[in-house]
Amino acid sequence: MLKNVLFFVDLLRMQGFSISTGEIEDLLKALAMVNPQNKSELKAVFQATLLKSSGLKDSFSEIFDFYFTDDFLRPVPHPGVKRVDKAHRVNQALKQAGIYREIEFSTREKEVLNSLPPEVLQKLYEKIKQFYPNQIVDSFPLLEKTIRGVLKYYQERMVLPEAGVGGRRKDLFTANLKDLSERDYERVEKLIKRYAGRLNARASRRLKETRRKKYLNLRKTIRANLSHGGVLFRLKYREKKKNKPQITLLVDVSASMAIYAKFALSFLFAVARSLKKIELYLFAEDLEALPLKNYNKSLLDLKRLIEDSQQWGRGTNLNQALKSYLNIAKTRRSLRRTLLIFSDGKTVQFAETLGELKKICSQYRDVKFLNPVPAKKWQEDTLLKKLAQEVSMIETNSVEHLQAVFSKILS
Amino acid sequence: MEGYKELIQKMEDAGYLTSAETAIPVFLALKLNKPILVEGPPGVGKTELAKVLAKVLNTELIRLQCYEGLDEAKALYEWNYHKQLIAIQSSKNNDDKTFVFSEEYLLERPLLKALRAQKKPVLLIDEIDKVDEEFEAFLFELLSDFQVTIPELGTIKARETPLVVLTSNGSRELSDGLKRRAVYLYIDFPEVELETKIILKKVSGICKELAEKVATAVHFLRRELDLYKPPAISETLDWAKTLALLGEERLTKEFIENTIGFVLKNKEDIETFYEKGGANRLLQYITENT
Repeated sequence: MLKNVLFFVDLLRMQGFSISTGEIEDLLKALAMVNPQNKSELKAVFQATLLKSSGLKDSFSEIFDFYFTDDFLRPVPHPGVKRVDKAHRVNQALKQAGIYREIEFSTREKEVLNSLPPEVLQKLYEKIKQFYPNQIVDSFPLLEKTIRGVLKYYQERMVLPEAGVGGRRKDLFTANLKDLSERDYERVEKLIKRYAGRLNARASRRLKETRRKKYLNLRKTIRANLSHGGVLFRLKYREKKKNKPQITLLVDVSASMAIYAKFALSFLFAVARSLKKIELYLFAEDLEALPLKNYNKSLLDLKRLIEDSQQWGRGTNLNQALKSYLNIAKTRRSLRRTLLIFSDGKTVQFAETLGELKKICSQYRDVKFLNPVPAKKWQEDTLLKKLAQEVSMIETNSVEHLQAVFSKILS
Repeated sequence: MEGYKELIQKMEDAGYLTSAETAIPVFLALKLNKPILVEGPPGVGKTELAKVLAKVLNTELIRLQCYEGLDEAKALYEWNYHKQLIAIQSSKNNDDKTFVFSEEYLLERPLLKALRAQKKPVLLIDEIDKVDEEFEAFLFELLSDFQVTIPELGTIKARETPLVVLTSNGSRELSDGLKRRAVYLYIDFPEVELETKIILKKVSGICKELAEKVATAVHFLRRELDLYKPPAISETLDWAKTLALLGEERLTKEFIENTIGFVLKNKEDIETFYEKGGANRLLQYITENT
């Protein structure tokens, strides 16, 4: 039983579940309290001790049902053995279809293959069977691409939160912004307003200690005077914090990023009253200033506004955009300003871009690179890895992420 | 308590009908002496669970309602400054030296009250997702070691480990540290069968057939319509009570249209209901599924 539990935990960890040794210890203690032959009792125990997020509930359930058969105590083959078998089986199926070449799967692809539901694997084998090798044109790359595409799809599904889990409101909050349709915009706007409203309220309530006679801080006054026998002769005051942050936002509106841009703008406008100054630029091949008369625009209006810009849908040249920005900002640069760059980092002239970023980071106190690519993928991508080393990069692909970014800026 | 089935029975006796899926994590939290983190959509009975557990364990329920800006002074303890001032001033005239940082001058807030309770209490920390991350981190010591440190007094350990019930509506993701310290329970809306039983238990004067129809209707609203705010169990009960009060013996088109506001409390949701076929579609679903 212990072996089965550990294999299962291993499988969950491969799928991105974070499980500590303490939780395994709890699970083993808990297992002694239920009947291991009853699958539903067993599932409830596993869920109570290993699952810690409603967003992962369906995924957990799927993996549990896939891994545990009705007989819990039946020995389960080690995932490592299965992994080898499945990659091998795909290559065997290729041979049987008359293709005498093999696909070299990466470790991550093998893991995904290993965790695919049987019906998906079956479809994959059928796809290979139906494939007729072409004698004139080499069609193997096409088949290889298809299989890798399937694995990539399932890999992403494992990383990204699935829609429809844990209640509608929560979905919109945590869902990847690229998965939202126009139908959702109205609700997303409400959500943004709600969370931005909270941040505005919090920012307006910020108080700091002061010597000026503003609001009396009674608690601190009494405490400070206890040592003087309780006679209140040292009064303590507090006042509202007035230093609102200044923000410059550079938003990538190239083909791969245009879908995210409107949400970032919408959130920024919603917290505008807590900011001292906003500067806004759209960029793709070059930089373009966006006039600040667009407050109170709906997401659809912002979408149209972005589509009307000269930069919309073009290729990204972050290097050029940063150069143009530095040029514009030369005369009115403020070191206290926070510079936000919202882009996926897929740019031409990457080496030069890194150079410009270094320059900008040395000139500004706070530079944040907001990237919609999930953080888990940064290590797999050489360019993003380098980018993350140069600048403070924050995963930003949901309302939740936007809220966290602006919460830090406004606190 | 021998097993989770006994817990289900006791909870049922206290008026809370539940399934094994919900009772097992609660049972484990009790046995492992761990806090229980309850998540789920609003209105499924998360807070009620804590209240019922207090009844089942025949103990006190101590509640800490969370909100943004909640701090130690409101959750754990505060010195009674006024009392301290009076003590200092009154001791000026005599030689009696008063130490004003003693338990006598301490104002107990819910967390401290739970630690110092004589009998194992149920501590409900409601809507934990509303507090700031700093306060969440502050709770770590309490939830793992059941102790808190007051600089002037030292460390206070729990006399009896409280059963801590944390609830969250999922408005933000909680930290891994907090989740690791707790047993997890997700409560979803009940299935038709369980909700029928709840209606029969809580609403007097309603027959089984009608209760089943009400539960099926609410099930339809929650699962088949894409609602902004699905009806809570308490709203189902209100709807059923209205039926019983008006002496209705069946769900009719007129009744549904006149009272839909009991279960749908959002203009958009009411519009969605009518767009998706309104009362006629609902009645058709009930006929097909009961």
